[in-house]
Order: sequence, then structure tokens, then C-alpha cells
Amino acid sequence: MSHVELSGVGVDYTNLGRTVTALNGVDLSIPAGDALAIIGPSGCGKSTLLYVLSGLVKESRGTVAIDGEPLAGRRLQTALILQDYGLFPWKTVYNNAALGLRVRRVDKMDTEARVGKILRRLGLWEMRERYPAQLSGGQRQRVAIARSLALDPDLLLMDEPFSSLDALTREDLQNTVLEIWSERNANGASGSSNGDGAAPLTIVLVTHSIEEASFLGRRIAVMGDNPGTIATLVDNDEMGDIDYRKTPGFYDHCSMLRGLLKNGGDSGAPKPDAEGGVRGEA
Amino acid sequence: MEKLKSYTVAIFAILAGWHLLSVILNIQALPSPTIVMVDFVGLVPGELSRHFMVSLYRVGVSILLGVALALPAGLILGREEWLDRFVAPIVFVLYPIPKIVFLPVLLLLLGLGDLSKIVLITVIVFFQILVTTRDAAKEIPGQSVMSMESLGATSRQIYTHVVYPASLPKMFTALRIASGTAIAVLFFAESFATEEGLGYFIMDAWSRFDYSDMFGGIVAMALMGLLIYELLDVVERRACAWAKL
Ligand SMILES: Nc1ncnc2c1ncn2[C@@H]1O[C@H](COP(=O)(O)OP(=O)(O)O)[C@@H](O)[C@H]1O
Ligand SMILES: [Mg+2]
Repeated sequence: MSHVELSGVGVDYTNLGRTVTALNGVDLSIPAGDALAIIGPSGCGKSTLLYVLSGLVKESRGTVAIDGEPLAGRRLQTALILQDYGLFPWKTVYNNAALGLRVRRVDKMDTEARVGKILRRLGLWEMRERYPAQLSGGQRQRVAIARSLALDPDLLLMDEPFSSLDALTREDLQNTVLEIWSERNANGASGSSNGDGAAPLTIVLVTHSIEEASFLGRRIAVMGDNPGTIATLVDNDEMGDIDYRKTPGFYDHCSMLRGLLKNGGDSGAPKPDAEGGVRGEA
Repeated sequence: MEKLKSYTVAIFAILAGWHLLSVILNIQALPSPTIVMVDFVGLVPGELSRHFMVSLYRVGVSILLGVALALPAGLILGREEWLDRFVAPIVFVLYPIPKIVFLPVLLLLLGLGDLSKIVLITVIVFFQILVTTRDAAKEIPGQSVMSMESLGATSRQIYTHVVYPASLPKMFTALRIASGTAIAVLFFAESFATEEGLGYFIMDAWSRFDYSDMFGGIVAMALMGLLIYELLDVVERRACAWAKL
């Protein structure tokens, strides 16, 4: 059974009497432990798709199910990281990272243990008393990651999390995300050695960067010209190693993706692993 | 300490300018600061302190009340569109009216004591804080609220963790401006049919042509303004340390 199952999902926004269709006829199934990158031009509905997965936006059509249950609103094991505004400048690093647990009324000792461990893991422990204004952009997004991981999620959603960072910092954070994803999924779902988080971690990452999609996406959903639809789903089984970035395979994959994006997501010849362009009404 | 130094310099500059002006004009209505200071020292242990405390009490209570009422109301109006749609037009019709025109009504209804003054100044502070915090709460990025929601926050938690702290710096800016207006209006209100407060003291001295007493009252009023301003500064620095980084 797949972890996340979308079928015929559509979203309409109505503002001042005008209706915009942001998503239309999206079929998508994401197995547990998958790393799915969603790429596409600005305005094609990437964020909306992520908000639907997070339960923040209710689908207008179709069905969304997680672990076989229809998704009704927010779900405790889902964490969301946004590009900006995710951190609060009036809270210290520690309080920002602990906010999710605090809101869920997890007790203080437990919070301290979980947040402490994650801040150390992400190299933020020494900065726990600082405010976001006293951090670099990369450190801030690390805090956002820390806050999400503190919730011990099985589904991590990220909306262009690194797009405002410089290239080196961005790669550094991509490496961190890859490491975390690999750690959580290496031991297998049953024989987990790290106590908490027995469930595999599924990542859904929205990006407009071809390199980021190729590096972090084991599968890549290309959203196309036809607004709000997934045009192609591409496999990227070679990912998973930090050095993948330096291999010719990576470059090939990036140029293939670039080609797909240029054609509005149409792959031209039918690909064996593509789940196909999803068009038409559900 | 740095602050104390700059205040000392400022006070000397003001006194020097004042002295110069009094020498040039050479009229009774503008006595030299040296005369006023000597008189002031004599007034402080006596009735001036009492009038000072009465005025400070009236302004202080009004500011506290105004903030206590306007801050939550403004935040809620800024966030709850259904309520704002109905209430905002009322606020914007009332906002530009100089509240001082209600003084006769208030004097009639609430009497000549503290209450009429406190209500008047509270209303003035209320509107300034209300309008500012409403706008501040409206400007909070949707993504901030979304990231809170995604953590599973209740709407109450969104208020305490995001809406309130995000709006606080702007609230303090508005409060600084409002406290200046509050003192000016208090002076006006106290110059009517009352026998207490710095406004009364100043107007009474004027009617007796006792200009050094009158300027003593003005100095006391300036000190009261300074005191309130500095108090606000201390509170703001504790409440929004993050905003100064
Ligand atoms: N709250 C909203 N109200 C109305 N239209 C919206 C809203 N959010 C997004 N849209 C519209 O929906 C479409 C998809 O937006 P979005 O999901 O943000 O795309 P992306 O993240 O790919 O840039 C865009 O045309 C956008 O203008
Ligand atoms: Mg977006």
C-alpha cells in the first residue's frame, strides 16, 4: 500500500468572485520512504499540491488518502517547511525549533531531549540562544529543518526550502536532507536501531531547480504547461549518494529534465517508467 | 549612561536657548530659566508634586486602559475578516474626529473628577493603538500563519505565538505618539473646571500672572512626558528585544 495516494485531485481558488484552477486531475501515488521532487514553472500549482498534501488546503475534487485513510485536515506526522517566514524572529533558535512540540503540549523534559538531539545533529546547539536575525540564511533553514524533524514526521514536505540561499550553502543543506533521508530509510522499516522514527521518512520537495530535483528526487514529477497537472513522472534511481552530483549520470539526468521542462513536460516518445501525462477532468 | 550624557547636553542646550530668548525679549511672560529653577525647587516639595502625581495618574491609567482594550481588539480586527468588514468602517468614521470635542459631554456625564479625563484620554489612546495594531496584524504574511497551522496550532496559539509578538513593535511606536497626544489633551482637559493636575496649576499661575510658577508647571509637564517616554522605552526593550537586533 502506498503511503500517499492522490486521485483526480483538483483545487480551485476563489478570490473576489474569480475562480482560478490551480490543480486539475492529479493522480499520484507516493510509496513510504520515497523522495519525490516536484518541479515546474512558477504558478503551475506546485505549492498548492504541497498544501493539499499537508492538509492546509482542501481539494475541490478527487480524493487524497494517507496510509489508506482519507486526509481530513492536518496530520500530526506531517511536517512542512516553507521558503520564508517559517521562523519567527521573536523566538530564539531553541524556541523556534521547539515550537511544534510546544503547540502540541509535549512535556518540557521530552521536548528538551528531542530538540537538543536534533539541534546537535544539525550543528545548531551552540546557537540555541540566538535569534534568527543573528543567523545566516543557511543556518535559518537548518532551524526550520530542526523544527520539522522535532515532530518526528513520517512525511516531510518542503516548498522551495533553499531557493533563497547561495549555491554552496544550498548544496550543503541538500546534503543534510539527503543524509537524514538515507539514515531514516537505511535500516528498513522493521529493524530500526534509532528507537524513535521506526517508520520510513517520505520526502516531497517542491523546487524550481533542476539540479535540486535531480539530487534529492528519487522520482521527479514534472508539472507542465497545462496548468495544474503532472505531465511526466521520471525515475532517478541513481540518486542517494552525496557524490552523485559529480557524476556524468547526474549531468545527463539534469539535461533530460531540462528538455522535459522546455517541452512543457511532454516527453515526446512514451517512456517506459513515466506514469504518463494526466490530463482531462477527473 | 550614554543616554544620561545626551540628556544632560540636551537640557543645557534648551536652558541656554530659553535664557537667550528671555534676555532678548525681556518681557515678564518669559522669565529666565534661573528664576524659574529657583522657584521650581521651592515648588517641588509643596503643591506642584501633588498636581504632578494627579496628572501622572490620569495619563498612566489612561495609557494602560487604552492599550489593554485596543491591543486585543486591533489584533482580532486585523485577523478576523468577517468582523473587520463590519467594524472597520465604524472605526474609520470615528478615528479622525478630534476626541476632545466630547469633553463637554464627558464632563456632564462623568463629572469634573478624574473619571472624565481618564475616559477622554483612554479613547484617544485606544483609537491610535487600535488602528495601528489592526494594520500590523493584517500585514502578517500568510506563510507565517500557514507554518503555524502546519505545526498543528490552534487559532489561539497563532495569536499568542505570531500575531501578538509580530504586532508589538508597531504598537509601541503608536503608543509613543499617542502618549504625546495624551499629555497635550490632558493639559486642555485640566484647564477646565478642576482644581487638580498640572493643567490646572499652569492655568492658575497664568491667571495670577505668576509666570515663574507657570513655567515651573511647564517644566513639570515636560518631565512627566520624559518619564513616560523612558518608561515605554524600558518596557519595549524588554518586550521586543528581538526587534532591535
Ligand atoms: N490563495 C490563492 N488565491 C487565488 N489564487 C491562488 C492562490 N494561491 C495560488 N493561486 C493561484 O494558483 C496558481 C498556482 O499557484 P501555486 O500553487 O502557488 O504555484 P507554484 O507554487 O507552482 O508557483 C497560480 O496561478 C496562483 O496565482
Ligand atoms: Mg510556490
